[in-house]
Formats: sequence, C-alpha cells, structure tokens
Amino acid sequence: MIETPEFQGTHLWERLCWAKEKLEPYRSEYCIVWEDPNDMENPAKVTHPDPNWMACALQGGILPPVQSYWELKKDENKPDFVKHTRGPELLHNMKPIGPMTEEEAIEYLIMKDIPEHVWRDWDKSNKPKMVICKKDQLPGTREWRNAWQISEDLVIKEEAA
Amino acid sequence: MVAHGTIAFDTLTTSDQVNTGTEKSLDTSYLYNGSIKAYGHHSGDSPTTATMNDKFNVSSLADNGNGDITYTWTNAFNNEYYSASGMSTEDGTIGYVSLYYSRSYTRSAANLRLQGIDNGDSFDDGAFTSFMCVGALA
Repeated sequence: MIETPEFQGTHLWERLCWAKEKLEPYRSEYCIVWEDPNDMENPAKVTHPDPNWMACALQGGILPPVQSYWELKKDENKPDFVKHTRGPELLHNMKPIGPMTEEEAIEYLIMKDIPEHVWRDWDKSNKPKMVICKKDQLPGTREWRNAWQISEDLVIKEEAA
Repeated sequence: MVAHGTIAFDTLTTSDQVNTGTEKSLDTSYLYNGSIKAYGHHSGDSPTTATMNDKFNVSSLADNGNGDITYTWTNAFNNEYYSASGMSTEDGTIGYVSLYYSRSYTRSAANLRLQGIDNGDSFDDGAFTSFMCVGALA
C-alpha cells in the first residue's frame, strides 16, 4: 500500500494532485438518495461519491476533518462575506484525518455535501428524508426521473426511489 | 532516469532566442493561479449514473433531476465568483443540450450547479457532460 506523505501544512489542492497521480479511484456501489423539505416541488436528489475523493478518504492523511467544511460554510453564509480567509487554518494546516472505511466515508460525505437540515433530522418525519442505497436499487431508467421520490414503505420495498 | 521531487522557484525566465531574442519572465504564482482547479467528465443519461469518467477536485456529484447536476468541490474556491465553462452533447434525437447555471443555483464557493436544456426547451441530460473551473482557491 502506498504511504501517505505527511501532508499537514501542504495545500489541500496539492494533496489532491498527489492522490490523482498515486491512488487508484474507488468506485463505490453506494449512493445517497435525499429529499429537501424546503424544496418538495422537485424530485429526490441522488448524490454519488467521486471515485478519486473516495480513494482519498480510504487512504487517509489527505482530507481535513468535516468540521472544517462546516466552518467554511458558516463563513460564506455571513452577510459581509467577501472571500475565504481561513483556508490555511481550516484546510491546509489542519491535521488531516486518518483512513476511513467506506461506510465512514459515505457518512462524512453526507455531512459535507448534503444540507444539514436534511441529514441532521433525516428520520424525524413521516418518512425518511434520506437513504443510503446501492446504485442497482435505483430505478432502471431515467424515463420518469423527475418523479423519483423516496418510497414511503421503504422498509418493505427493495427499491429506494 | 526520471527523478521525482520538488523544484522551488518564484520566476521562470526564457531568453526566447528562437523567437524574439528578448528575455521574458513569468511569475510562478501566475502559472498556479491560472491553472484549472477543478474539472470533470461524466455520462449523464445513465440512471445509476452520472457515471464519473474522470474528475478532479470533486467530492461528489448530485443528480438533482433531469438535466440538473451539482458538483461539490473538495477544495472550495476562494469565493463564489470563479469562472466555469461546460459542454454537453448533440445526439440527433433530443438535439443539442446546452449547459447553464441552474435557475435554482445560489452561487457558492463550495459547489457548482448546472442545468442542461435541449433544443425543445426541456431539461435534459446529455450523453456526456464536461466542465472546467478556474479561479483562486480557499
């Protein structure tokens, strides 16, 4: 297995360049189906992990803690935001997190890329707002893509959307 | 034999003898800041999908519906005003698919949301979609 260099203090983008060259992309069979309660007019969304990103997550020593992304999001949401000034502190100089399992990586990705109001209370309504499923559980064609919703009887049906 | 390692330099200089004979210099930061910071190519019309053929600096792709995609960055941009360009396909059936910023997109340093519209004015996934982005990073 390739050993990750000591990357704390190295620009995150440079780490991604290293990973692109050294690591084999990992194609997860999982995806995340989710519905935004603030946007119920639209169909369920499906988030797919990027294989290069998955390779970084599984390798360890490359990605910052997910809390760094939350802090960046807070900064960007401030009314006087002009540009990020805490990139070095939060992304490049922060100690990278260690290797994750595929399950941990998917959970990290949910907390990074899906709105907090979706994943924080994902099971606090009449039906789940979010579900992790295998890609082969998605409908077989996109013909009715804009009608995809999370099934209300998810527990007893195999299809996720 | 190829040696791997790091060369640290701030300026590249050429005598440019072959062309003008006038010495020219280029700041290394200009090269860094002008390079493409994120790119990707995927197959858009597969259900299981959005098969990722190749990407860089992307943590995930969200399929929001027909012709509606969000790419989220691993290393966010410095602000929301980075530049992006993208293209999709023309297949003779649905016609050309053009890419735009999604109507639902709130500009963000952390992600990019694009929509594809075909020449029948419908949201549509092209057979292939690609994009690239330049700008300063956080």
